[in-house]
Amino acid sequence: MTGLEVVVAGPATTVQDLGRPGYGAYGVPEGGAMDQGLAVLANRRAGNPESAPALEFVLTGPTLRWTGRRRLRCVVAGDGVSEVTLARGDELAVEALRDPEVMGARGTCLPGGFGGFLGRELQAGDVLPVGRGRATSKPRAGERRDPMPVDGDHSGGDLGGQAVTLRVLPGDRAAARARTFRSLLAAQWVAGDGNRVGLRLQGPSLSERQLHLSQPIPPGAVQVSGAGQPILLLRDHPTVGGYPVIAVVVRQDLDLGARLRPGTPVRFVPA
Amino acid sequence: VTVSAGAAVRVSMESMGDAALLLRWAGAGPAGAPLAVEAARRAIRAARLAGVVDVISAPATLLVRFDPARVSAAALAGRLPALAGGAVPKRQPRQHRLAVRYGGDAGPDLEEVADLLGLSLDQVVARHTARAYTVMATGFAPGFVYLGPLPPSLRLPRREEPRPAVPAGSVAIADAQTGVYGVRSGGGWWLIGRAQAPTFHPDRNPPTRFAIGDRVTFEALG
Repeated sequence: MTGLEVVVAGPATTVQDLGRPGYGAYGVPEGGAMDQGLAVLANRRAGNPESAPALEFVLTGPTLRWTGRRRLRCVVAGDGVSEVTLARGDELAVEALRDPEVMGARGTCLPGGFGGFLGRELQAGDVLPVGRGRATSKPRAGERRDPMPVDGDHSGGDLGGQAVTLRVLPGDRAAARARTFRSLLAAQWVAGDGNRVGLRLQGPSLSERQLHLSQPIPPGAVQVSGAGQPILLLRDHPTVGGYPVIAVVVRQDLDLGARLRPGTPVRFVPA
Repeated sequence: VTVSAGAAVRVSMESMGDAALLLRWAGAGPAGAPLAVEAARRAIRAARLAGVVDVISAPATLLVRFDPARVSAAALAGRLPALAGGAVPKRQPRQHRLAVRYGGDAGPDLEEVADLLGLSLDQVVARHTARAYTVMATGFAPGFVYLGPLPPSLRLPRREEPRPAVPAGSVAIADAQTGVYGVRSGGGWWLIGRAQAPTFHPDRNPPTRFAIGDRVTFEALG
C-alpha cells in the first residue's frame, strides 16, 4: 500500500478536521483540530476544502515517508506556513488525507476511539492513505470561518512560555457564581497537564458549590473541581459533567487552547 | 425567560458563554425531568433552527450550542421556550435486555462491592438483575448510558481512585446509578460485569440505541 508511512509518530499526532458537531447527546464531543484557524489556513494554501482532514501534532511532529509515485505537495502550518513537495522516498508532514467519514467528519475522536486513522494517535509503521489533492469532504452548509493571518496570530504556533490571554463570559448561574468568576479573572494562572480533553490550571484554589445533577458542558468551559482546582475543557471534553462551570472561553478564542503547554502563563479577561 | 412546562415544572433559560444557551427544568425533583428534557431536545433538533450546532441533554438541563456568527443569542432565545415547553410527546420507550458476565475479569470490583455491602456475590448479581432501570441520560463519554435508580441495598459512593481505562461494555454502579460504558474510557464507578454485545456503534446513526426514558434489564450469563 502506498501512502504516507509514519516513521516516527511524535507524542500526540492525530488526523483532525473541523469537528463533528451534533452528536453531543450521545457523549461524542465536537472535537476537531485544536487550532481550527490554522487548519483552515493550511487547507486553503493546499487548495483543499477548509474542512479537509489534516495531521495535527504537538511539539515534535511526526516523521513521514512518502511512498507514492506522484509528487505530493505538503503544507506545514505552525510557526508560519511553508510548502514542500515530496517525491517518492522523501520524508516529512501532510495534507489531503483520505480517511473514511464517521458521523459526518473525518477527524479522530480519541474519546470514542473512532474516526481519523483507526480512531487513535498515529504510531510508527502506520501508512496513511492520501487522496488526489482534491479531498471529497465538503464544507458544511453555511460554514464561515475566518482564516487567521499567517504573520499575526500564527507567527508562533508554539508559544511555549509566552502568556496566553483568553476572553471569557460567565457560565450558568452567573449571579450565584459571580464571586468565583471574579476570582478567576483576578488570578494569575499557569497551565498544568493537559491534552485535547482539557487542561488543569494551577493557581489559587477556588470554591464553588458542587452540583446535584450532572449538566451538559460546552467546549471552553472552565470547571471547578471538588478540590477547588479549575479545569479548562477543550475540543475533546466530556459532554456532560458534575462540576460547576464558572466561565466559558468565547468561541473565537478556543483555538488559543492549542498553544497552552505545561508552564504557560494564562490570564482570563471578560469578553 | 421562564415558561411553564406542565404542573409545577418551570423551564428557565440562561447563557453559558457566547455560543450556548442552557435550559433548566426547575421543580422536577431530585431525579430531574429526563423525559421532558429529551422531548425538548427532539423538538429543538426537529425545528432545524439556523445556527444551532448541537443540542445536549442531561437529567434536568439542556444545552443548545449555536454559532454566534450565524444566529444571535437573543434571536435563538426567542424561539426556544415554545419548543421546550411543549407537551411531552408520547414516545414508546424501548425495552433493552443486556446479557452480562458478572465478576471475574469482566467485573473486577464485584468481590469488593459485595464485601463493602455485606452481601454475597450472588446476592449482588441477583439484586442488580432484579429490576428494570430507566435510561436517565446518555453521554459524558461516547455511548455512556446512565441508568437508575439502583436498589438502595447496592448503593456505594464512587471509588476513591478512578481507573484510567475502563473496558468498553463495562457495567458499573455508583451512588443511586448503574451504567454501561460505550467505549473504553476512564471511570470511577465500581465495575461489576461486562455486557457481551457492543452498545456503541460509531458507524450507525444514531450511534446508540439507548434513548432517555428507555427501560433496560440485565441478564446474568452463567
